[in-house]
Amino acid sequence: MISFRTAIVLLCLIGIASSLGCAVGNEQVLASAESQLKLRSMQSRSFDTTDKIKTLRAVIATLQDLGFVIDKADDELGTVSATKAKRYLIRITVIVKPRGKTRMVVRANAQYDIHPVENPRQYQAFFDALSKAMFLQAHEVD
Amino acid sequence: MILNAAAAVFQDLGFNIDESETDLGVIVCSKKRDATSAGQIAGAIILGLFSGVAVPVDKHQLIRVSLITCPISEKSIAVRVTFQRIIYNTYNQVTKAESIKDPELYQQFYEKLSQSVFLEAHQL
Repeated sequence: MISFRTAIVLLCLIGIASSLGCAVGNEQVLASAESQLKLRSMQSRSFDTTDKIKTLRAVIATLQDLGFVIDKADDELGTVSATKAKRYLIRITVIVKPRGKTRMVVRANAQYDIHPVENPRQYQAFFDALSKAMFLQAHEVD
Repeated sequence: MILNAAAAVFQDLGFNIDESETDLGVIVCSKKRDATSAGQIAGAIILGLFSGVAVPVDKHQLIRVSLITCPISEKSIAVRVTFQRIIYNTYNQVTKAESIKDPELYQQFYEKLSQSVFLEAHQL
């Protein structure tokens, strides 16, 4: 015969074990920690050029200079994805698109292991290097 | 244009583009995020104390999404999107792999996409 105390302990264990089954919800799927506007402005710069291919080439060269290996580049969509291994994997996607008739906007977003990169200085470093590779000044995007 | 707008939404959501094919109208992207839950960790600690064995808990998840566009008439394009996620535990074992079937989540995504299409059309 099981004593009352053993039964309670067993019940608790069953409860705990079943709670182990519930995984975290879907909230991460569409989540972004920073406000979307703030994120966009830190991740984007515009350049006074209309040459998309030249801009993409400069992006690729800059990523390589920074130690990234290119995973994927698509000239039509204007995207470049790359990965860098530095303790953890850093993944970055850069999208280049024309804005108006005189400018190209470059936007980068990165993740470090399981965290989105949301530090403006990291993006600034990338755009500084890109600006040098393009021989053009990077403008903040309003 | 839909693909450009979609790529912008994926950047907003922190995804990285894995694959894209403009002629077919395909974008595949993914992101890796935290998957720990406080309740699960507490449960694992208590269970570990009782059993004396370290109990693995969920650690991170890979969220993948594919977006496919298909022209349905001269004026309109159909967009179909599929989200899935794969959850790994502290032993790096897959504890869960599932398609996300939450209608609200898809609704929210399409709202973001329509906003982005609008911005794209007005070159904002």
